[in-house]
Amino acid sequence: MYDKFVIKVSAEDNVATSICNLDKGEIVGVYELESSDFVSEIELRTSVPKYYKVALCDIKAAPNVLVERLRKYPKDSRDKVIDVVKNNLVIKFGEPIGFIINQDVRVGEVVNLSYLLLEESLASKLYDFYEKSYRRFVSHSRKLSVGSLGKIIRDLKINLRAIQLKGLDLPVLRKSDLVPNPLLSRIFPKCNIMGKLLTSLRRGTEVIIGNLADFDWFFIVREKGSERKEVVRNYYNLLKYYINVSTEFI
Amino acid sequence: MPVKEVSVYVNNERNTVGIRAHILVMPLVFCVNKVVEKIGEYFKDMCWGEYGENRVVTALHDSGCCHIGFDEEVAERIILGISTNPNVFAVLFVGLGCGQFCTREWKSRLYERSMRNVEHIVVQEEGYEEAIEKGIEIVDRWIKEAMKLRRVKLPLEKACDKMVLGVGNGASDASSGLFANPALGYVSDYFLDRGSSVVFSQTPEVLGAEKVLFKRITSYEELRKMTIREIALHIERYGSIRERKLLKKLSNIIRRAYLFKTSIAEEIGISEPTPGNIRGGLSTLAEKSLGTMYKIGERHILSNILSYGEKVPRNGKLYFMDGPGQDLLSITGMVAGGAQLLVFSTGLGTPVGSIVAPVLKVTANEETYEKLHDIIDLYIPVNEIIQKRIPLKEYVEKEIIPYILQVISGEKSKSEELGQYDFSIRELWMKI
Repeated sequence: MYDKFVIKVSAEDNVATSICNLDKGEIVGVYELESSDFVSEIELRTSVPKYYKVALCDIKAAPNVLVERLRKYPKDSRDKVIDVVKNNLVIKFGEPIGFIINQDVRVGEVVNLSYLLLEESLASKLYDFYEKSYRRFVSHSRKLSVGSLGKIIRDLKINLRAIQLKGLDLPVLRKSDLVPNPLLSRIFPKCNIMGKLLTSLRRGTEVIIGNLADFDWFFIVREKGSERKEVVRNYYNLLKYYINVSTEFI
Repeated sequence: MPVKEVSVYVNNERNTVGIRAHILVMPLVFCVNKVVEKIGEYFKDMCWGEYGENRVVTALHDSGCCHIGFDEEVAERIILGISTNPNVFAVLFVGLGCGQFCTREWKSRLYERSMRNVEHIVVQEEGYEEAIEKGIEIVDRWIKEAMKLRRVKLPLEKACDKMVLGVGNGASDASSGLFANPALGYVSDYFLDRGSSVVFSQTPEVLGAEKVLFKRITSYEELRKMTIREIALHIERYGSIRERKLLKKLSNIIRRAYLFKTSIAEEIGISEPTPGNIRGGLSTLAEKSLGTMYKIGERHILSNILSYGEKVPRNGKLYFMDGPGQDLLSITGMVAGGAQLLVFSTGLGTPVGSIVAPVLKVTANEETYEKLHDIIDLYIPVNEIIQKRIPLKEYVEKEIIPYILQVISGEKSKSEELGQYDFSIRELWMKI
């Protein structure tokens, strides 16, 4: 019997979910819902916050070249993306939910979008920056040119060395992982997306960067001549234009 | 001791059973919201029924005028659907006189649906104060009649036979997919087994879990290991006409949802998973969606796909309503479709309720329940279940189903206790 445990849904899953905050070094039971029993145990290599996922086996990161190719030439269906990254899949509920990027995950390590933790003062600066940017974005409906976390950090004159891990014992990302990595600008193509992710965190705690990628970023829905996509885009732009006109008028 | 019967309001003329007998005051245009509000205000302390569960409810909204085609159609369907929900005893329509819906023949349309207690007042014809007075007078008369109504004890199967249960989820976190949604799945199966129809909605939350839904079109065992494309090909090749039609419908809905999502994703970013979901440990849309699909149970195939607010047939089958992911709009769609009761899973907690149907909220997040027990009806004690090795199904049958049956028999849900009678009409086009 284990006092602390993680939950695995299906026998095929390679991640399990913690239901309480777990510390590095703890040995926890793996409870499988399908069989309603403990099926194994793992030693945690990192701390795992409540409801976060932990790897039950080693999962290799998709090579950067492969991810880059996916990014440049998106596939037209989820199935095709899954096929390309079949060796790097994260499986939960018996189905792929994403794939590992950036660096390999070892058994007992946390698997999540949340990856780096900032000191409180730095995270607050990011929040303030986001809030100001977001207000600007809304009132003038202007696209912000900020393309990646690296740019935001540069704008704020935050020294990357000042980024420290706090709470989670995760490997520190190299500067090269943050700034020139095109994958990150794919994950955060616009500042407001970054902002959305930031708002998902408790103030002053974490910044999401991610060792887990969503398939959604890598496939497109192909329509004949993309006409229907164009219609949707035009509709959106029409509404945006309408809002702009109203704002200027006011 | 398993519950064998429930107390409901039987309406033989409409061939329905209601679990509430509300009097609904429905503005036909937002301009008369104040009139409706004043009528509602007059009866704010008035309630009837064994638990005081029935009330005068006012469906305030900001629609009803200057709609274009499809929005007009949706608004009309919702107003009509909510007014004819079996939980509604009487409806008072209040129109201004010049709006799109104000002078339509609502009364006769509801008469066609065997709804007898319907009145329609037009403010521009009656006068402002006079309309309020007349409204109060009509509602007062109905309350006297409603107070005479008595619940009838029916065997569970007989009551379930005429019921539609809606299932949904909102403010999800990792606990939702692990426990709360599977628990809802057992609830769905329980009601489907007893002849109730079950409806679920929230199209954006199907994205990433299309495979689960595709597999539910048929009962073929061999689909389990197939990819989405293989399943689709298999159904196209070997499926019945119904299955092929359903596949086409479902594919179109999913393709459209992706189309919207991918077309403007670069402009607006991705709205799902929401920041709250991510904070709750749900990293990707697929993870969220796969967890939510447990709410439809395991044993019943998908019978059909309905448009937003379309009537759900009462034939003991499973239906998917193509609707928005937003909690209130999806709930409103299902209630307009005829759902008498909604069971809603939540991870981070939401107070959402519905205008004429009780909304029961279930969570498996202990922290959420501790903080928000005022708005959440049921808590699944995960630790206890695992430590004692209690199968979730057994827990649901022992703890959750009896509570749901009590609410069917009149006990107030938390959303009703709080007076959370929420209502909203979906609009796609801008207001000009």
